[in-house]
Amino acid sequence: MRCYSVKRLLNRYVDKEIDETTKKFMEEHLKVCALCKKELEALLLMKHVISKKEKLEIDKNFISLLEKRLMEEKPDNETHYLTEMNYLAQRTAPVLLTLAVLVMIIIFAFYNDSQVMKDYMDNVFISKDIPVL
Amino acid sequence: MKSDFDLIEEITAGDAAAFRVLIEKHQKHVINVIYSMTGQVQDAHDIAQEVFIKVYKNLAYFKMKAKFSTWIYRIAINETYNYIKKEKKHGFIKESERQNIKTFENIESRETQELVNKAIEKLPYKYRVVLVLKEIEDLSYKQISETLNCRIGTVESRLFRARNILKKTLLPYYKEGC
Ligand SMILES: [Zn+2]
Repeated sequence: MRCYSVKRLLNRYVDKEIDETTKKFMEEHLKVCALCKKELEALLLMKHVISKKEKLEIDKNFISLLEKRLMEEKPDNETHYLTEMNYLAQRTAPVLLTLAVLVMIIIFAFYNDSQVMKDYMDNVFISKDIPVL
Repeated sequence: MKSDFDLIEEITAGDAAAFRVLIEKHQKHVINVIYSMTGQVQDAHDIAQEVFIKVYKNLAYFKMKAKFSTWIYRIAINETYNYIKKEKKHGFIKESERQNIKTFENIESRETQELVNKAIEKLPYKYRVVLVLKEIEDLSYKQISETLNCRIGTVESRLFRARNILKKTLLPYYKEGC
């Protein structure tokens, strides 16, 4: 392998994105070429320096703050799963269902009542003009 | 531990607790990626809030055949890009807030950290993204290419350029060979 090819593949080499055969060829070259070896060392050193980069401590209130914001958001489409609207709908659903059933019962009763009245009137009417058999 | 897919199904079925678990699982990565690209602690948290709100609102559109982490990284990168664009437009690039941050490293390495942070923040955005996903998040070239929706060759060449620029800043006395 020539310096040019090795240099080009050094990034892949340090990132372990290389197949075993190519790796072998590279390592053979690195054993004998001081310049390429120096390149590799520079790359590894840089990786090491970056790995020392601080890790940020996350604000402990991050999630509760997010949940609060999601609750406050106005629902603008049906993909809101936990919004107040949805919550309200879930809570009021049984009440609405009961109300609906009650209304049905009243209507049914009223309808039945009027049917009774109609039947009564029919009977009266029939009994008046047609002799009962 | 439940998989992301299981959690997403529970959330879309209306389970609020599942969303909390999903955030707990990904918040560290999301905030750290944004922080690595902006250098701003408070802004990184604020942008991450926007990211999770976007995630929440768009969960129904998330395609289960993709990896959730790829999707969330993509949203984080886009939100960070919008933030940087806005900051530039308003003409105020904030100085790093790092002086007040508690770190896990000792005081001696503070100077080195400061140098690394500044060097990364100065990289052009497209190089910075690839470098952060590789060096900070340790994603593979394939994962980075999926996240950014570009070819692996593009990831490779951007990483190569990013490292070349960094090398000049971080290792100024390290003479190049060949
Ligand atoms: Zn060589």
